[in-house]
Order: sequence, then C-alpha cells, then structure tokens
Amino acid sequence: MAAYRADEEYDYLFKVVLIGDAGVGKTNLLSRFARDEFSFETKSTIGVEFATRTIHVDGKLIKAQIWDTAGQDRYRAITSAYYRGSVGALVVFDLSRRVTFENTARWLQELRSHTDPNIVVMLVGNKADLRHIRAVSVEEAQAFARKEKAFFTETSALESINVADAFTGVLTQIYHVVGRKVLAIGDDPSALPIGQTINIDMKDDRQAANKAGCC
Amino acid sequence: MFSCCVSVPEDWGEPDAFYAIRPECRDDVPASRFKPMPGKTLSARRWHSSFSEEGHLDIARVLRRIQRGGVHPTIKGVVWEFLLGCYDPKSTFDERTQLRQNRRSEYERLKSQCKEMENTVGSGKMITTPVISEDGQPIENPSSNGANLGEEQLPDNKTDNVTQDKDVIQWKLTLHQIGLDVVRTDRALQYYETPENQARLWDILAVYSWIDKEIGYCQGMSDLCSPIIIVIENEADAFWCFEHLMRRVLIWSMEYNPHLFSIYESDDSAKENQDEPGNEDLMRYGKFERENVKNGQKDQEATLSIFLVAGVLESKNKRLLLEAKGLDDVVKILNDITGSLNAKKACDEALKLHIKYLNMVFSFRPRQLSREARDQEDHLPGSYSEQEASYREHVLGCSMRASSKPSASDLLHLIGTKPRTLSAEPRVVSLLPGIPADEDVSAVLHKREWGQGVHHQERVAGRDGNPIRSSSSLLPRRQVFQATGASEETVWVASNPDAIPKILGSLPPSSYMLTAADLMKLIY
Repeated sequence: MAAYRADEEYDYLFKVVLIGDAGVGKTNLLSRFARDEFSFETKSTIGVEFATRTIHVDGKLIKAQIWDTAGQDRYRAITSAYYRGSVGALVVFDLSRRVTFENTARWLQELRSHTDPNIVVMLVGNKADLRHIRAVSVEEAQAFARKEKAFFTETSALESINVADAFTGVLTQIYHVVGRKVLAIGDDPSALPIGQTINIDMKDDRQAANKAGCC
Repeated sequence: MFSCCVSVPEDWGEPDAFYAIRPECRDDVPASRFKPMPGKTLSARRWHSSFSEEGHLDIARVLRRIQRGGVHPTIKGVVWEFLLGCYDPKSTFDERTQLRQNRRSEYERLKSQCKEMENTVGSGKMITTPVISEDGQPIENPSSNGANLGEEQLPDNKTDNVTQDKDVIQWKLTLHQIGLDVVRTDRALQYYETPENQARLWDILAVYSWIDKEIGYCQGMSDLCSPIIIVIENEADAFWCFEHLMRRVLIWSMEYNPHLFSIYESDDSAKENQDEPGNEDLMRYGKFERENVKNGQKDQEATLSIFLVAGVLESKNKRLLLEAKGLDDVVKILNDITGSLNAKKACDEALKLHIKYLNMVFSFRPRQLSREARDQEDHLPGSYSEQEASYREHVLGCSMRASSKPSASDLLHLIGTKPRTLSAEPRVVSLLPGIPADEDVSAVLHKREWGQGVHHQERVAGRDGNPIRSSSSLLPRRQVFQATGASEETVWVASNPDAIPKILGSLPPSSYMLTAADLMKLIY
C-alpha cells in the first residue's frame, strides 16, 4: 500500500508498476527515470524493488513510486502485493524481440485482474536504440495499444530517449483521472486529493526522437 | 584491484585475481571483503596434508580452519565438493576417482539427452529467445543466436515438429529464460567475456532444469551456479557440485553434517551413523549442526537459513517496527541490505539465535537424555505436554506448537519482538487467496502451494545412479516471519538460496550481492 505521509514534501503519491517479460529492460527504465543511470551490468531482478522520483505537474509535486519486479513467470506469487494500490502501469516489451510484445497481452490480463479498471496503462516498446533489428512496427504496437485502451510510446533506456516522457505521461494522466475523481483506488482514497490542470515538465529527456503518439 | 591485505606470503595472492574483474567495470564493483589469512584460512598445503595415505579426509581439521578463515581461492572448488556432500570424507582416493568417472559419464549422458531435444546444448552457444510455444509449436527465431538459424522450415512442415511431451515443452520453455539470465550473470567478471564460458553456465543450468523437473529453472539459480563453474574447471564436476548445492539449499543450506554424503547417496548407511557422538565426533560437524546434535534436535526444517534470515531481520527490527508504515517502507529497509550484508556477522548472529532457540525448545527437558529415552520420544522436540505449552504461551509470550519448526511468533520472540505488546493479537492478515486470516503462519505455508513449486518433501532416486535423496522445492521454502504487527502489514520472508555461497567463503563481490528480495521473498 502506498502510504501517504504528511511529513514529506509532495502533494500526491502515485504508485506505478513496471511489468513485462524478463530482460526487456524494466530495471534500467526505472534507474534511468529515477536516477538517470543506465547499467550494462544489471542482474536479473529477484523479488521486488522500487524507486521514487518527484516531478512537477501544474505546480503540484507528484511523487512517483515506481515498482519493479522479476519478469520470470514463477515469481508471480508476489503479484497481488505488487499490484496493490497501484494507479498506473508501464507494460514493457523489447521491440527487438517480438515474443515479448506478444506476451504483453498476458501481462495486461494479469494487470487488469489485480487492479482497478481505471488504472492508467502505457505500453512501452523499449530498446528503441536497437532500431536496426526492430521486430515490432510502431503501427502494430499502436493499434494494439488502442485496442487495449492503453497509451503507447517507444523508449530507449540506454540512449535516454523518451524515458522520462513515458513516466511523466503516465503520471500526468493519473493526475487527470484523479482530478476527474473517477479513479477508485481500493481502500486508500486519502492518497489521492483532487487536482486541476496539467503542465508537464519534460526537461529531462534529451529528445523525443522516436516518440510515437503518447497521450 | 588494489591491495586490501597486509603483506602476505606470495602464494596467498590477491583474492580478486581469482575472479578477475573487467577493467571497465572496476569502479562499479565493490572490492572483495575476503582476505586470506595465513594461519586462519584453509591453505592448499593444509588441505592436502589433511588426507591420509588412502585418501580419508580429516574433516574436523579442515572445518576448524574454514570456520575461522574461509577457504583459499586456489582450492575452493575441491573443498566445496566435500562440503556440499559430493564426496564422503571417509572414502579413498580410488573410490572418489571412480565416482567422479561415473558422474562424468552420467553428465555426458544427460547432456546428450538434452542435445537431442535441443541442438544448442553443448554447442558453445545458447538460446535467449523462445524456441517453443506453450502448446509445443516450434518458434522461428530470426534474431536468435541459437542453432535454429540455419534450419529452414516450411510452414506446412511445422505440424511434424510439434512437441507433445509436456516435460519437454516445459523444459524448452525455460531455455531462453536461462539464456537471458546467463548474459546478466556476473558480467563484470572477465570470465564471462568469452561466449564459451557463458554457454557453459547455460548448459549446466539447462541440463539441471531437465533433471529436476520440479524446480526447473528459477531466476537466481544462475547466480548460485556461477561461482561454482568459475572455481571448478571440469564442466561435469561443476554440474554435480551445483546439483549437490541445490539439494543443500533445500535441506540445510550449507552447514556441514558428516552424514551429508550418506544421506544423499544411500538411505541405509545414514541410519547406521546416527550413533551418540562423542566430543571428538562433534568436531566433525559444522557449528550449526553441532548444536543440533548436542541437543538431539533432528528436525531438518529448522535450517540455518531460517536463523540467518531471523538474524538479518533482527538487525532491522527496530527500524521495521518504528519506521515502516507500509510495504514500501519494509521493502526499502530490507533492500538497503543489498550488497552490504556482512556474511560472517550474519552467520554469527544466526548461530546465536539458533542456540537461543534450542534453549527455548529444550529448557523443559534434561539436556542429556539417554539414547533410549530419546528414541522413545522420537519426534523431539515436538511433543510438549499441555502444561509446557501453556507455560510457554504465557511466560515466554510465544507458543511452541506441536511442531519443532519455529513458528512466526517463536521467531518474533527470538528477535525480541513480542507481538502481544504491539497489537491485541498477533495478526496474520489474509493476504493470499485461499489462506484464512489468523492462521499460524508456518502452518499456512506448509499447506500452500506457491506458484509452480510446491512445498513438500519427497524422496526420489538420485540422479547419479545412487538411490535416494530427500528434497523439497526451492523457492517455495518460504520461512516466515511476521515482523510488523503494529502496522498490520505482514512481512513474509523466505530463506534465501543466494546467501549460501557466502557462508563458504568469499566470492567475487558481484556474485554475492544479496538483494533483500533474495533474502526474503516479500509476499503479500
């Protein structure tokens, strides 16, 4: 449960989960967003980790708590705890490995069975730096995202392309939804006061070269 | 890496030289904490002089050294083989040579079995993209670095290649997962710069997941296997060492018991050896087992790893109780342990808690029961009188149920947290479907199946031709602690296989990054 604490400086705390097959780059997406780091030595994630970063949206401080977990199927035992209280999700695939894209359908299914229907979902094609061996076209991924009522973007944690955009996109959208008071987030409504307008601060990304129809 | 040791004789060397780190990664990898110490660390010379002429190993002599100062990197491989129970210290050189030979052929046989199913095995390459769908359809992988590259398959041929056997499908489904993790294993080490060495790790894990269908492959196993293949050159020997490690993970988690070999290798000889041990015999046990033997504790469920986790939790106890307001805080506090756990200290703590636990369990019975009396009460220390039980309930604030397994509240008591003072009732919130709230945690765990793994004990034929082993599944062994009663958050902690290599001595730092998540599976 994402606990709301008055003693820290933020207006909103949003829990966002990262899901997707093993090796698609979830951990590096997180470290790129939270600490602007990328590591070639990342080990496979075992268990659960999370990192936070605070961003400004419309003068409000939004603290994002991003959760990262193992991609292997058999670690799914921890899922209910993992998803609990989350208001956004990034469903990640590796755009150079087609099967990871195909599996996003399963990840979405799992996500939806554990979370509120109004959860903000973004499909993320990571490893955009591997464009020369791309196995999933932008159009196809976009169409799939549309069908699933999810946003879509392509990122490269390695080259720091679109990573912050993807996260801020999701967070801003959550903020929207909260503002419209349509999000029912289980048993902790205190975590979600009411907001108004949106103004994304996107200064962190180098560029949005491959950005494809997010938000 | 720069020297962290005081000047030592030349042959003591630098530990990091044995696990050379790629120059470009040196800044990212913390230096090894392990320092071979002359007179404390088990040296190659002392090791070799601990064998009799026929080859009997004086295990007590080497254990003392290992416990004090670890194992010198040059002999880690051969020492591990004994510690893990691959070989009986009482065996002769000849017997071991024979056994080694048999095992090598057995490994070759298993490997060729795997190769028949998937050509990449043994090819010096590995698979990182799926080769099969869940219904057994082969998958074409244009980007695969596996062996499928050259094969041209027409779509209408496909039906012929559909795999029917469930075991084979299951195995093939794990192959790319192993590959994905192998490329991410200890990659700061020079050892893994060559594709051949990566493929070695992949082969061993692939063969293992074929012979152990219950466990198959779990993320994290590559980290366990990696140090073994680095220190043991022969692939088959490394495989069997890993295989024995996996059994140990399941049973005692790396604590030496002299009957280890017999327990794995044959059912009967183990029993013969269960005589009352004298003081001298006790020295042949590791520290942890020694206490168990002294107290007549025979239960294999209360493993060192439980106490290891309890010890680590204890060190974070105050913070968990005072600061943790939710799962996020718990994860954060425990994740801080990552990469900073002092293995030796953690083991010392674990041993202390173990003794404390044994004292609690046995405080009502005379320490030195005669053997006959002990045999009569065969399920020591499970059988408490009601009077004892109620005393424990009220005085100790914890209950020893009719089981010698430490229950969550026993452990809480051990680590100094009395649940009653925190909330009206120590409460196990029902967090997982199918588990009723407020049920005894350990009882729940033993009933429940976790994902694909099931917690149960079973006995099966040994894989190297020898008959019996006892096993239970790996990751599902979640020994549990209820740590934050106050916030009604329940922390579920599992004993961690990754902690095991540390106990044997220092490995390259990158291979023993203990993530809190390894240490405890936070389930909830």
